[in-house]
Amino acid sequence: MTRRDIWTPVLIAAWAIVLGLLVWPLGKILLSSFIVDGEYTFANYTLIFSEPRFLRTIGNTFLVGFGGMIGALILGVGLAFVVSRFEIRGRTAIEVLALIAMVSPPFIGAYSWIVLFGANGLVRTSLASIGIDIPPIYGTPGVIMVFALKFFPQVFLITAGAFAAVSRSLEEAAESLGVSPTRRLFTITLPLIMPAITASGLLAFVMSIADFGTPQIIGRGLQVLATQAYILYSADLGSNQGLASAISLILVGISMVFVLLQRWMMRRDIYHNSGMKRAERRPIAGLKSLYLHVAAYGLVLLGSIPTITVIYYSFRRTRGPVFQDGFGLQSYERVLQRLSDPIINTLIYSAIAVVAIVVVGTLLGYLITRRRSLATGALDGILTVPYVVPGVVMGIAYAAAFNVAPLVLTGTGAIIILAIFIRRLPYTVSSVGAALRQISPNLEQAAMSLGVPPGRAFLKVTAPLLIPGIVAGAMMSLVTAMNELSSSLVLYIGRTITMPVRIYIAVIDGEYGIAAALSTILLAMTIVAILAMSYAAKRQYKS
Amino acid sequence: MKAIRLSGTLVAGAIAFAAFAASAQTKEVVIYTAAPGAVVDALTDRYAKETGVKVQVVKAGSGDLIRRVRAEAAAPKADVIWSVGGEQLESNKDLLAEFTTAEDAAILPAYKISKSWSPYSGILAVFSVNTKMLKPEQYPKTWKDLADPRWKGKITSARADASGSAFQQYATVLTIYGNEGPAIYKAILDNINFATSSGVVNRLVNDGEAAVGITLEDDAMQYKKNGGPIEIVMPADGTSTVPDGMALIKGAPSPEEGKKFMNWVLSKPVQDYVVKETNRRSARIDTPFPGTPITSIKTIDYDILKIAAQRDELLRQWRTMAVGR
Repeated sequence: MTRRDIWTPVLIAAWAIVLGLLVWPLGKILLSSFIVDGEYTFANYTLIFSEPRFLRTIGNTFLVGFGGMIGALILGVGLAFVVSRFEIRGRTAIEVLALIAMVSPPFIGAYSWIVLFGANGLVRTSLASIGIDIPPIYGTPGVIMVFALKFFPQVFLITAGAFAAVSRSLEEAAESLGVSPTRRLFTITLPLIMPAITASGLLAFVMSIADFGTPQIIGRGLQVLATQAYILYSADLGSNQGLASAISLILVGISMVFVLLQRWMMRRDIYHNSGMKRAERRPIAGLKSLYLHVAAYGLVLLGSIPTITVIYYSFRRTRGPVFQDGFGLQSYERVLQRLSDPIINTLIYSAIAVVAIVVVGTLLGYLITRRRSLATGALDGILTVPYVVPGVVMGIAYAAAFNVAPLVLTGTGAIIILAIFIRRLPYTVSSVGAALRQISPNLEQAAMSLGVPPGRAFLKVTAPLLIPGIVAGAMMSLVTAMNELSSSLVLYIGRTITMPVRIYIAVIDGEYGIAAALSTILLAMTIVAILAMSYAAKRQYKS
Repeated sequence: MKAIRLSGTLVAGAIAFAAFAASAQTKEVVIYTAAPGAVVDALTDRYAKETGVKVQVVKAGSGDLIRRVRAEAAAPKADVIWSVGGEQLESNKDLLAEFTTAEDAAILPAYKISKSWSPYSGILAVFSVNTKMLKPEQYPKTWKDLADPRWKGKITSARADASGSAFQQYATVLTIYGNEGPAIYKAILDNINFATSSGVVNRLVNDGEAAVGITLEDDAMQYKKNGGPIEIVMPADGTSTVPDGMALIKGAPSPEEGKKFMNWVLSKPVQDYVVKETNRRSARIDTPFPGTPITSIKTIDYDILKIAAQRDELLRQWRTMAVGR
C-alpha cells in the first residue's frame, strides 16, 4: 500500500462501475416506487401490504420459490450423490445432459411442457389411451415441478463438485466407528457440503421467484410477484409504474434477505479439503445398479425434455403456423432470411460482455478477497444485488437511467452489453474469489518483497494460477450471456435484436415452429462457443 | 498493467461501438409494430426493396409498445407505430403527431376516425373453435353463450389490459349489452384461461389446449387456411370491426421517412397484398375481401372515440373483474 499501488485506481474504477451501472439505475427505480401523482409517499407499499390479493401474491411467491428450491435440491443433490458415490456408467453423458437441461431455450421451454403434458399433451393423451389418467400440467404443482426440473442441474453441478471434494478419511473414520451408511451421509457428508447445498438452493430459490414466463404460461391464474410486476409494467396505463417498481423491489428484497441469510449461516463453515484423500466411487451391481442407473438417466432426460422437444419440433413439417405430419425444413427456411442480424448481435454482445466480465471480474475478485477493507467489503455487499434483481427490472432501470443526456444509450448495442455485463459480473467475482482462497498469498508477497510492483506480481504470479477458475466462470457467463432474454427484451430496437428476443417474438406470435428452429440454432451456437472456448483454454495450458 | 490497458481498450471499444451503433444511416425508418412477424417481414422487405430505405423494426405487444413510446417521449426513437388498435392510439394521442396520408380519399369513411392516426387495415372480433373437440351444434353462437358456466376453463383469450384485441372484445360486449354488459362480460371472463399474448390464442385452440378462442378473424384464418382444426364463428349477437391503426410519433427522428412509409402502406398494391397475405380487411374502398362479406355479418356500431375516451376507466373496471389473476 506504500508505493504507487495499482490496486487503488482499480478500486476507484470498480466503485465508478458499481455506482454508474448499478446504484444509479436501480436508485431511479427505487425512487419511482415512492412517487404517486408526483408526490413522495409510502402509498404503493401500504397498498401492497394491506390488499389481500397482493398478500396472496406474496404467499404464492414463497410457495413456488420454496417448492422449486426443495424440488431442485432433492433432485440435484440426490443425483450428485449417486454420481459421485457409485460407479455409474457414462458419467460424462449425464453431465452433458445436465448442461443441456441448463441451457434449456428461454421462454419456449415452458411450451414444451404443454405440448407433452398439457390438456391435449402427447404424453398425457398416450397415457390416457392405456388407461392412466394424469392431470394436465397447469397450475401451482405444475409450476413447482417445472422449476424443480429447470433448476436442478445448477444444484447438481455445484454439489457434485463438493461431494467429490469431501475427504474420504472422515467418512472412513465414521465407518470404522460403526456408523451406518445412512447416518454417515446425514451426519458427516451432507454437513460437509452444506455451503454448496445452501448456495445452490439459494440460487434455485432466487431463480424460481424471478421467473415470470413459467407461472404465466402454465400457472393458469397463479399470480406471483414476478408476473404481477410484469403485467403492471406491460399494461399501458402509466399510473401503475410506481406500483410495478414497488412490487419488483419487494421481490428483490425477499431475495436479498435469503442471500444474507445464506451468508450468515455459512459464515463459519469453511473447510479446506486440499491434500486429503478424495472420495471414491463404489461399484454397484444387480438390481441396485439398475435402479440407480434408471434414476440418474431418467432424471437428466426429464430435465432435457424441453430442449429435446424443441429440437424435434424444429424439424417437423409445417404449413404456416400449423404442424403437419412428417418432417421438413420449412421452419428453418422461414427464419433463414433475417437471421444474420440476431446471430451477429448475439455473438458480438456476448463476446464483448464476457471479455469485460472476465477482466473486471478477475480484478474485482482479487481486490475483494485479498485487499480487505471497508471499501472492498462494501463493494462485495453491493455486488450481491445483481443476483437478485430480475432481468426485466434491470432492463427497465437501464431504459430509464440511460435515456437522458449526457448518456443516451437507449437503442444502442452498448446498453444491452452493459446490462448483461452487470448482471453476470458477480458470478465471476465470486468464482475468482473462491479460487483465490485456495491459492496462498505467500507467492505473490514473495515476488513483491523482491521488488516486483503489485500489479505485475498479480499478473505474473497469481493470475496464471487462477486461469482454470476464470475459464470455467467465463464459460458460464458466455452461456448465460448468449441466452439472456429478460433485460434485452426491454432494451432492444430493430437493429440490436438478439436471438433470444427473436425467439420470444416467435413465441408470442404463436409461431412455435419458427421459435423451435431459432432455439435449435441458438443451442448449436452455444455449444460451438463452449467447445471453442474449452479448446482455446486447453491450447493456452499447453503453451 | 496489461489488464488495465486491456480494460481501457475495452471501454474505448465499447464507446466506439456504441457511437457506431447510434450513428443513424442516411435513410432509415424506425417502426414499432404489434403486427404478426410474418406480415412485418414481408412488408418491410418489400418496402426496403422498393424504396431503398432501411427499416428498423421493434416488435412487441401493443401495450408494451405504447409504454415504450411513452418512456422514450423525451427522446423518441421510433418514427411510426404500426398495427396498434385504433382506440389504443386514440387514448394515447398525446404521443402522436397529426398527419393525413396521401391516400385519404380512398380510405373507407367508417375507418376515418382521427387526425392523430390512420387506419392500416380492418380487423374483426370472432370466435375460433377446435373442430376436433366440438361438433358444429356445440359451437358457441353468441357472446352470451360464452358466459355459460359450461365453458369454464375451455375458452382462451389475452388480457384486456395488455392486448388491443382483447380490449376490443370487452368493449364489444359492453356495447352490445349495455347495462347487462358488465355482468355478461364478467361471466365470460370467469370462463377464460388467459393466453400469454393474443398471438398465442389460436395456437392453443389449434393444439387442443382450449376449445374456443376469442380472437381476430385474420389470425384464426391463418390456421384454418393451413389445415389446422379450426373453424371461425361470427358472433350472432353482433361483433365489431375496427381499424387497426398506425401513426406518426410526435418528435420522431425522421418524420418524413415515417410519412412516406404510412403513405406506402395505404397504397392500392400494398393493400391488395395485405388482404391476400394477412386475411385482413382493407382500409381502402377499392380492395375486395375474399371471405365472408362484411354486409352478411352482424356488425355493431362500435364508437371508437367514445370508447377511447373511457378507456382508462373501462380498464380499471376490467382489473376489478379480473382481480387476483
